[in-house]
Formats: sequence, C-alpha cells, structure tokens
Amino acid sequence: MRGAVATSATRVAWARRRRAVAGAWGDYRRSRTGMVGLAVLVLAGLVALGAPLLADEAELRAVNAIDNPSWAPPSEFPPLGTDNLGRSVWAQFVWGSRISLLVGLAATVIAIVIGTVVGVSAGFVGGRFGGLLMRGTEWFLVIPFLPLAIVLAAVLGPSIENIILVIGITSWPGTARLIRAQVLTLKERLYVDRSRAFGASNRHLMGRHILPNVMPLVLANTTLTVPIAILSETTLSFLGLGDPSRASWGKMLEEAFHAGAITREAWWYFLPPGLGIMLVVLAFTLCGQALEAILDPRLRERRS
Amino acid sequence: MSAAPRPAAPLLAVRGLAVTYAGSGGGVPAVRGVSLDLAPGETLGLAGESGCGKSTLAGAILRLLPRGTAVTGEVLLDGEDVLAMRPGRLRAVRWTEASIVLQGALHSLNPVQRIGAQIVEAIELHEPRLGRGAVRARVAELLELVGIPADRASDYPHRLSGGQRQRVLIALALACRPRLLIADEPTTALDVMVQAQVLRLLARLQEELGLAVLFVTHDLSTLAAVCRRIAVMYAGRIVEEGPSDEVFRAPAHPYTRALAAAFPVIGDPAFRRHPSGLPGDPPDPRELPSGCPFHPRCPLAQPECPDVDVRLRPAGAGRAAACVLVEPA
Amino acid sequence: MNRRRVIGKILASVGTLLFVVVFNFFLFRVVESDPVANLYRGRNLSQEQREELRREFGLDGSQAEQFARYVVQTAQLNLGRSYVSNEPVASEIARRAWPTVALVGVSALLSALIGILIGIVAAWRRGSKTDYVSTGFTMTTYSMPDFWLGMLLLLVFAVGLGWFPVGGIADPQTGGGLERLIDQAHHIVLPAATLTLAYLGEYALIMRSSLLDTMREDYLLLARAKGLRDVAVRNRHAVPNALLPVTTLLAINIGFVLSGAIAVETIFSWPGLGLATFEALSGPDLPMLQGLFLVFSAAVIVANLAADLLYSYLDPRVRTA
Repeated sequence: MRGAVATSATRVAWARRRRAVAGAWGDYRRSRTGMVGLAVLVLAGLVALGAPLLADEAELRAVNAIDNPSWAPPSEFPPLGTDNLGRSVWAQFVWGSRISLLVGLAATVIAIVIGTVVGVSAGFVGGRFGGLLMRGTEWFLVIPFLPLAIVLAAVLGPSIENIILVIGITSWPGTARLIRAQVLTLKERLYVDRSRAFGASNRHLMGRHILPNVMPLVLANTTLTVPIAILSETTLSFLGLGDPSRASWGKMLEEAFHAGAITREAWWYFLPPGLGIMLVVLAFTLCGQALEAILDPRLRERRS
Repeated sequence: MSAAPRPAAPLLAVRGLAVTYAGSGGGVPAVRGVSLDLAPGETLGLAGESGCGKSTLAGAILRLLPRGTAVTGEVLLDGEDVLAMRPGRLRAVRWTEASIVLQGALHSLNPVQRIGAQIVEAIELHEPRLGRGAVRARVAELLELVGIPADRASDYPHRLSGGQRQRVLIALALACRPRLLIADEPTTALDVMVQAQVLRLLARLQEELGLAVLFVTHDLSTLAAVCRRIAVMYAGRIVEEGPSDEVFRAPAHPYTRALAAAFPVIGDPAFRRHPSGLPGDPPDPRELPSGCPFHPRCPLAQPECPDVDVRLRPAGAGRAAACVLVEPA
Repeated sequence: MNRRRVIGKILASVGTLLFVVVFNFFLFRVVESDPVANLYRGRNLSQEQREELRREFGLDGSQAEQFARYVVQTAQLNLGRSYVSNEPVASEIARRAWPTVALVGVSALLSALIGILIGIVAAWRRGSKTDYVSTGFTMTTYSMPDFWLGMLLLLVFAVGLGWFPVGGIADPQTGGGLERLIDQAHHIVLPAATLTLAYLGEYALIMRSSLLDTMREDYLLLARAKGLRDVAVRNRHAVPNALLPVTTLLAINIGFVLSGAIAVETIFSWPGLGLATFEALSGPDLPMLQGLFLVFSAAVIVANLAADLLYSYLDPRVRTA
C-alpha cells in the first residue's frame, strides 16, 4: 500500500518534471539568439564528431605533407590552404575542433562538479564548516586564474589530461559562490522548513528539495563556463602549454604565430581557428543567456 | 497675464480617459472611460482595490505611464489638455501646475543624492532665475513645513525613517508651489502612527496652501477623514461618487458598501489585498466579466447583471452610482 | 564607513596575501625537477660545485628549512635569483613592471570609458537597432581570444597597411626625450587597442544590465515627474546609480588585466611582465615564475581592496552607515 502511494507520488513528480522541461523548452525556443547559438553548437558538434569523414587524420603529420606546397593560399590548396610545413589547414581545423571542444567540456565538468559540491555543502551545512569552505573559496577567487593555470601547466607538463585538469581546478570558485547563494535562498523557503518539521531527513531535503532546484542554475552556469574554458585552452595552448602531439585551435594559433604567419600575411592559417573559437564561445554564451533568462523570473518579467 | 479662471471652472477635468497597457497578448485595459472634476482647493479621494486602475489614472494625469501605453480621452489641467501637450510644455507643467507623491516612499528618493539637492533640482529647473540663497531658503522653509529640521537637507535618504522620507517627498512635491497635488497611496508603506501623522500633515497643508488634492488609496476610511468628495473605482471605471461622509455612511453601490463595511486593519497585508472583505479577487483586466464587472462577487447580483453594461446614474444630490439597483431619481 | 571596518578589510587582505605566499611555496614544490641539473646539463660539475649552486638557488636543506627561508626572504622582498639571467627576480620584475603598468593603465581606462558609454546608449535605447548593433559588437569582441584579435590588428595595421610597428616598445634608433616618447606612443597603439577592444565588452554588458535595473527604480519616475528632460534623468539620476557596480568591477579588473596581458604582450613583444612570464615558461625559470605569480596575485588582492574601499566611499548608503 505504502509502496503504491510512493510510486504514484514519484510518477506525479516525474510527470511534473517532464512538464517543466517541456515548458522550459517552449520558452527557450522563443529566444531567437538562443536558437542561433544552439544551431552553431550543433554544427560545431557535427564537425568535431564527423572529423574522420571531413579530413584524413594522416594529413596532420608533416611527413605526409612533404609533397604539398608550403604556405599555399586556399586558392592553390583548397579548401583552406597549407601551413609552413605544407600541412592542410582544413585538416587541422577539423581535427582541432575535437580537442578544443573536448577540453572545454571536460574541464567544465570538473569545475562544475567541484563548484557544486563545495557550494551545496557550504550552503546546506552552513555553520563553521560552511564558513570555512567559503573563506577558502574567496581565497581561490582572488588568485588570478591565468598565472595559476600557467604555473600548474608548466609544473605538471604539457598533456591533454593536464590541461583539462588545470582549467577544471582553476575555474570552480565562481560556481561555488553562485550555488551557495542559491542553496541559502532555497533553505530560507518555507517548504524546506515545512518538510523538516515533518521529520524529513537531510538526505531527503537534499535529494527532494535542494538538488532539483539547484540543477537548472547549474545547467545555466555550465553553459556559461564552457566558453571560458575554451578560451583558457586557447590561451594556454598559445603559450606553448598544450599537448604538443595534438592539434587544437589554440595550438594552431601558436604554430601560426611562431611560424611567422602574420608577417607572411598567411591569413588562412590563423583566421579559421580564431573564428571557430569565437563562434563557439559566442554560441555558448547566447545559449547560457537564453537559459538564464528562462530561469530568472526577474529577467523574464523584463523581457515581456 | 493669463485670464483668471472662472470660479466654477475645474482645475482638473478628466474626460473619458481610457488607458491600455501594452501586453504580450494584446492590450490590457486598466482604465476604461473615467471622467472626474476637481475644483481649485478641493479634495477628491479615489478608492479601490489593488489593480482597479486608480494608480494608473494618477500616473496618466502627468503622462508618467510607460512608453507604448495607449491613453485616450482628455486630461484638462486648467483648461489645457495634458495629453495633447508638446514635450517642452509638458515638462514645464509638471511640478509647477501639478506634482505627485508616489507610493513607496522608500524607493522614490535617489539614494546617492542628498535630499536637499533633490529638492533644489526641482526649484532650479522651473525657476532658473531664483538666486542661490533664495533657493536654499525655500528648501529650508519646505522642510520646516513638513516638520523636518532644515539642517537635514544635507542627509542622504537612507538616514531618514520611512515617515521622514514620506515627509520629504511631500516637501519635494510642494517645491514649485503647484495648485494640484496627486497623492498616490502616500501612507501605505508606513506604520499606523506615522500614517496618521502624514495624513494630518496633508490635511493641514491642503488647507493652509489652498491646494487641490487628488488622494488615491485603497483605504476608504482614510479618504472619508481627509477628502470632501470620494470616487470609488472598480475594474477601470468609477462605480460611485459623491460627498465623502454620505458615500461612507450610506453607500449606494454594493461594492462601496463592502469597502465601507470592512473593518480597516491598517497595515495588514491580507487586508490590503482584500480590503472589501469580499470573496474572490478583483477581476483580471484581460478577462473582464460581462455586463457589470462586479457581478460575480456581488452579494446582491440580479439576473440581468451579467448582461447590462451599467453606467453611472444619479443617486441623490451630488451623487452617482453604477448599479442596476440604484433607481434613477 | 568607520575606521574599524576599513582596518578589518585591510587585515583580511593581508590574510589573503599570506595565503597566496604559502600557496606559492607549495605550488612550486610539486615540481620534482633539479634546476641545477637542468641548467648545467652536459657540463661536468663536481659534487661541491653542485652543492654550492643548490645553496645559491635556495634548494638546500629540508622542506621545512626551505619554507622558513622562503617566508623570511619573501618578507624582505627577496624573491630569489632568476635561473636564466641570474639577476634578482625582484629587480627583474620591477624593471619589467613599467611597460605593463603603462599598457594596462591606458587600456583599462579606455575600455572602461568606451564600454560604459556603449552600455549607457544600449540600455537607454533598449530594443532599438543601436542596442542590437552595439550589444552584438561587444559580445563578439568579448568572445574572441584577445591575442587573436591582436594578430588580426597586426595583420591589418602593421603588416598590411604599415601604419604601426609590428612589436616592441620603442625603436632602438630613436633619440631621447620627446622623440622617444612619441615613438613609444606609436608602439603602444596596437597592443592598447587590442586590450581595449578585448575588455570593453564586459563593461558594456555590465553597464547595460546595471542601467536596465536602475531604470525600473521609482526615483527615476519621480525625476521625470519633476519635469526633467530624459537626458537629465539619465545623466543625473540613472547613470550615477548604475555606475556603482561597474566602478567596483573596474577596480577588480585592473588586478586581473595585469596577468591577462600575458598573451597580448607576447604577440606584440611588449617587454612587460606578460612577456617575462612567457619567457620564463620556456626555461622553465621557476624563481621568476614564482615571483611573477606572487606579483600577479598581490595585484588582484590590492585591486580588490581598492574596489571595496572605493565602493564604500562612492555609495553613501555604505559610507555613512
């Protein structure tokens, strides 16, 4: 009997959640900029996943490019010309998108997980422990991100795992602070008190009330953290801290710069990766803003 | 050089005013054809629940409504239609002919400017030739008038209590010696004692300065104490008007009766929402009931009420009400 | 704001600074490398010479001894010696700080000024074409890697059009005095333009949303009711209030911009702290990196403190509370 009640309650909760998601998607679809961002992201995802179909990975290696002309403009070597070693820029662009997106997404996952755990515990537990956690977070907020990432990357050595790790563990404090504030607000809300009065356990509170309500914010924050992570990958790779064996958009820019692409006016070498980064970052930002607008009732009111 | 207004000429005459807010799903009618007169030196109370359109009406008089709001009809201020004024003329009329005390005293003062400076700004704007000393003297005089020591002019708003801020707003409204003062819920954010003080202050100033006051509130008993005449609004229209003591004592419209019967619990938020003690909420302006918009909540509803669009009809000397039960005299 | 709160804030900043100092030590002990071996690779060093060099670089003794020595030396502003130039890190940093301060100062000022103006116009004409164009523009520049923007400017204005030099801070052939100053101004244009464009987007977006928030305040309605022109309502009432959060952001950002210029300085061979960081990376010149990290962090801490104090000075609600 109790089991049946519980199942139906769960079913109701799921139905409600499904409806909420459907409603949110309806709202999202009305945001034109959000849809443009989403379209760009889908395109970028297709390029990254379909890289083997779009370009041969072997073209990335200089030994296979010996017969190609070097510094060939797109007109001579379609679609995007060649670099100083005769490698196809198109192949580098396509395969580089994989690394850039992978690093951006993976690092964001790390940052969001750390940030959410710290933020939720600091907000939910509160007291001296929560205060201590926040104090630590404030300290990490002050440490300038780029020098820390540079030092860490230099210390750990250049590899793709390290660069993900470095960006991940330097990007969490902002998320932690945001999530904590949200948890504190939720805690103030009446229904938490009410269900506590009914003898609800902390686990129940966390699972039923806090987490479901924090998750949308986490999602919006994720969407806004990815572009920062991608830009960080670009800068770190440009400074020579990326994985030397794999092409990424940041690494293309590094190689283009040090090979003298600017003085040679070889725009086809460094324009595509930069544009790729710009578009993906812009797209993520647009999506994040659209999500934020749906989640923040104050913004929604302003929009109408 | 202007010709002296004829004695009977109203200072403010609103004629067939209709206000429709721009909304995502079409326009939202907030005021639906309101006419009223206010003679110089007279006081008129405008009562009704939240959302009945009374604050919209107050804002429309000085054209303070958001851009994109459709306003039709006439607002004659000393015979001149405010709605038809050019921007320059409108700015000149604002504060010199009519000024407004907004609801929400806590947010109506600029937090980063000293209160004296905010009063000075209004005076210097409309009387640019007044000397510095004269302006300062006027500010001191205004503050004293509302019972605030003149030396507090150099304070920032957050240093003042809610009641003091409301007084400053009143002083500010009087800065350019207007003939009409619009007071939009001037006491709602204050506690009971302070409410009474502010009301007494307004009544005194009205008398001393010969001001015409349009007093907007949800609280009928307040109006009865302060105003000579009352107009009651429901769903964007005036449903009853007349001398305040008579309207309060013997309401002609069932809605007024409910408003007057309700024991006022000032400051109680539940009371603010349902001052009438009536069941249900005021109607959504987007979906007004047919006929008399009050009929779904009316204890005396007649079979014809959903079908009859009842307008104001005479209900005794100087009185009018919009109800089928009122027999045309 | 009363004196006790100011002192409290200063003490908190000092605490954060201490944290960074300690953090800095352990950060660099993660490296399991022997700089002496790295530097003198291929040369025959006796054990004695090796020990001598280790002592010189402060690498002898136990971790605890090293930590104690590090703290004492840092307190005396002794940041050790560069592996590469063998000069004291502190004087090296002091020498290279000025180009960065000049570059960052100019671009922070310009980006804030232009960004705030764009934000004001966009918010005030919200939903207009001006709003869409300016917000689109700022979001685009905001999405570019700053050094890539620099590469584009180099390509067009230095290599293509030849209007500006491709890098450096001054032409070695120019004389002194005014001539040198003009030459330096000529050199700073492109890097400063890059950083300005890269950073103004943030100011524009923040100012826009701050002003939009302010525009819903009742005191603006009152100001309009007084008979003020829209422009006066905006400039006298809306903007001063909306500027408060932006000013704080500006102060905080200056701390971060200092280290944000690393890649841009590299692009333009601008001989400041950013280029020094890039050069130290190739060693890696650990003492130099360590010193730079400390300076960059201290800059942020000082900027944060300045922002805090500035805000409490600007906002009378905090100042006189």
